Amino acid sequence: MGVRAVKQRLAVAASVGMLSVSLLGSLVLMSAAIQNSGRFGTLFSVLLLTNLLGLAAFVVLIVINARDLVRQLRQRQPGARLTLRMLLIFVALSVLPILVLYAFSINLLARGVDSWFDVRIGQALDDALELSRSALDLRMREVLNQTGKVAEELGVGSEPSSVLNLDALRNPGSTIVADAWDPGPNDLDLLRRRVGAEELAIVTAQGRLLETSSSGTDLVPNLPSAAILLQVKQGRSYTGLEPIGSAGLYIRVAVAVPDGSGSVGRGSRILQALYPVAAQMDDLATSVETAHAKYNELVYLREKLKLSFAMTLTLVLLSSIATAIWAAFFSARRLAAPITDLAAGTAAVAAGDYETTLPVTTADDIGFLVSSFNAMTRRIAQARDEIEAQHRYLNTLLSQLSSGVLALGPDGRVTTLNDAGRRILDIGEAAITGEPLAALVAQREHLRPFVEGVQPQLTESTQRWQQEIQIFSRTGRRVLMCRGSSLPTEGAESAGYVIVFDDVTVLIQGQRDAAWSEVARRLAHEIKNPLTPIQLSAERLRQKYLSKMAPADAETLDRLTTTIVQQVDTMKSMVNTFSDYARTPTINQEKTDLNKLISAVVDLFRSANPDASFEIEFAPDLPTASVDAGRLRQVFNNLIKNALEASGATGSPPQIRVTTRLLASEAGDHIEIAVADRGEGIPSQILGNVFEPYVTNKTKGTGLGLAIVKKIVEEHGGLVTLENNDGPGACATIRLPLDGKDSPAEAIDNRRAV
Amino acid sequence: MQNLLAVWALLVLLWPGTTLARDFTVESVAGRISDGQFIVDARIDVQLNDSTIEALENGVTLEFELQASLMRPRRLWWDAEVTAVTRRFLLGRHALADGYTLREPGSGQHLIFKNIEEALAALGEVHDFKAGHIKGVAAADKYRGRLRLRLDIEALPAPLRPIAYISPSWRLSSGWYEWVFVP
Repeated sequence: MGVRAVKQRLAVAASVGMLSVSLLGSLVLMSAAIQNSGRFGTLFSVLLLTNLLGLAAFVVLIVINARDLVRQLRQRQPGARLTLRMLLIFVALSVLPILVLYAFSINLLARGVDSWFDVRIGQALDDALELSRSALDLRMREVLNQTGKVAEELGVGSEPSSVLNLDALRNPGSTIVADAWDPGPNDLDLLRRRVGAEELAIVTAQGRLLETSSSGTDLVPNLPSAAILLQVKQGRSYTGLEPIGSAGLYIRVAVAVPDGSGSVGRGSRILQALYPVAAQMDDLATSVETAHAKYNELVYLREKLKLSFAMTLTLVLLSSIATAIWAAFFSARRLAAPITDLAAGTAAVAAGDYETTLPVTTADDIGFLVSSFNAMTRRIAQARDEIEAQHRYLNTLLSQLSSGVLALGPDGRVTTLNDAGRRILDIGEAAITGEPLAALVAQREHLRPFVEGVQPQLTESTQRWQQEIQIFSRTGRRVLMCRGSSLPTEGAESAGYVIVFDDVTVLIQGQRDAAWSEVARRLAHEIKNPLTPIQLSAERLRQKYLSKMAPADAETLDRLTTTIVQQVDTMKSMVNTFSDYARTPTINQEKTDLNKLISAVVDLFRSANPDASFEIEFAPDLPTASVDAGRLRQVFNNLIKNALEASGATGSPPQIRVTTRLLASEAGDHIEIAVADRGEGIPSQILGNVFEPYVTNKTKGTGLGLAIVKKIVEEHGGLVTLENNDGPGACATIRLPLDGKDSPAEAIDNRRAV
Repeated sequence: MQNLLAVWALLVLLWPGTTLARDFTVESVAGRISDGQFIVDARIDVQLNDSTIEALENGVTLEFELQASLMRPRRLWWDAEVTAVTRRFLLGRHALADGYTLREPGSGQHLIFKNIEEALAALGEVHDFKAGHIKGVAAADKYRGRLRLRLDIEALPAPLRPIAYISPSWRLSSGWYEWVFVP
């Protein structure tokens, strides 16, 4: 199990924990509210805030997750739709039951709270309160009467001479002189005891204490409030029920002490009495009061209580939904993750990345799927490597072949052309893969015979075929031996064609050269032998009979024999030429300055042809070459002679240009000698064969000139080519190796030497 | 709980349309020092609105908080609190006596009034409020006296509290009334 998986599980545990705590807290809150409102009170704010914060946290989490998902959906990331679908399913599965439960709970809660209250209970409590009041009213009227009587008793007599001096009263050493009418403190005590009051006090109309008597130890008397004094001053006695601290219920009575005038004025005195309510009565009345107050409060708070419960429940609901949605996000992501990985992996494989491997995180079906995917990519990568290796191998083979190989697709487009093929067809490095075969002609006119020869074979037959095709490239005529067949078919469709072609020009040339050599040798041998006897016989005839004959006959004989001897000489020289051509070369190589040699040859021609202009451009630092100077002189002779003859046909003065230069190449250094004219050029029909004997467009000459040139150059390990110039005329080019015949010059590619 | 109140106060302040209720108004205030005690006399006009009256009539006890404090101003720093005392008053309905009781649990004082106006007037009459012993109060210094009376929402019955948190009609307070106090 990876770190990621552990983290995920921890996160799940944490979220479940948070949900549990939140729910538990809310439940505690509710149960506490029902059982003990005090506990509810202390927990309420904390739980409310905790729940709200938890809810807010979940909402933030959900918003973040939802935003991520929307972004993924917009970017069409793999797995996003699956995540969305699973999310919706999870949410629907979890939220719907919660909502149903919520609706029922709210309903039950409202009914439960309502069931606590009953109109009859309320009425009974009101009645009980009323009953208590009635009972107390009775007692209050009683004590009011008693107090009234006491006031009347107090009212009999004159005004006191002075107000009561409390300080003097509290001072044990003081002497108080009482008036005769004044009942004195002891009398007030007596009166208090008689009526059973807790406290009796006489105050002025302004609330100033005149006299007091109390059964308790409280030195400070409980004086009437301003409102009570006002009421009494207005002539209405006051009687009221008062809860005094923890002492219980008291009845307070305040009446005016009559002063004989019948009205209550500024100088009037007011008697206040406090009567305790009987203990049992007190307890019962207080109990009724408390219960009544509590019930009233509950009734008042009923709707608020329902609202609070509903709010708590709603909080629980929202927390649960938020947690469920977040858990749905989490689970959907977790479930979709391997599938998302698989989709991404498949896309990568489709894009050609076969190195993709996915982590196997689970041991279930998806884990199996992932490991299968990994096995698949491994196999594909292996197969691709094998194919690539085979491809490389095939390419290497093809590039090493000396035959050209051209492969075409079923639609006739070029799929492969090896290096040798490019060289033979003179295509160079141009990219032709994917082009139709016919399109090759558009830019390379010299390939027309090849394309026209191959094309019918592709459409008409799928059998093996073989054909000799001639093309005319820049270096002349080339004879291609083409063999082709269709590739093994895949199903009904053809897989394409393959054409293998060889440049057999050299081979054919070699065969022709060999044949000509044989002809020449035979001619020399068969003709040369009878020539000497014929010549000798003719000379003998002339010698023997010329002097003996009549002058007329003698003249005839002389003419005839001379003709015979001349023609035999001519034949001899022709046979010698043939003999030269056929002769196995024996080259006497020596270091020769070619510039000097060519210069000498040109000088001979220059003197013999004053009309012609010879332009010479020699490389100044041309090294000496190991050549047979005599034979090479013949080569340059023939070439310049040919050039002059070709120029003569145009009618204008011949212009011959001879150049030498040094060529450095990987295969070794070479000397290139070019002889160019501005004559009529070479007809394209014979361009490829000009170095064969008797291939000529001239009416005179042996027809062996260029054949001998080629023979000598090849004896030196060089090669010679003849091409038409871009302008008028043609140019013969000779390349000779610096180091003679045995140099690597042969590697230059003999096949180019036509 | 104070923090929670602060959070709620912030929430309520940010709530759109909320205005700080000023149902209690400090009409007059006077501070003095007697026997080393900071003593405050004040008159506060206390008015209840319909919501609170309704709750009171239905037996809900309202708890009020009277706070007084003396602050010594400091430069570049918060003011130092010399003394601070809180008194609590409970205003309730007594159905049997058909009146309103005003109690102070701290002192055991218990008063009953026939009508609500009297009770509120008594609540607003701050007389000889001993706001704590003070030491080292220099006579030349200027101090800041502070007084506030407010309804304690946290002391309300729990079912009422959510509404009280949200509704401005339950946030009854005089706000901090401040005056310059020179001993």
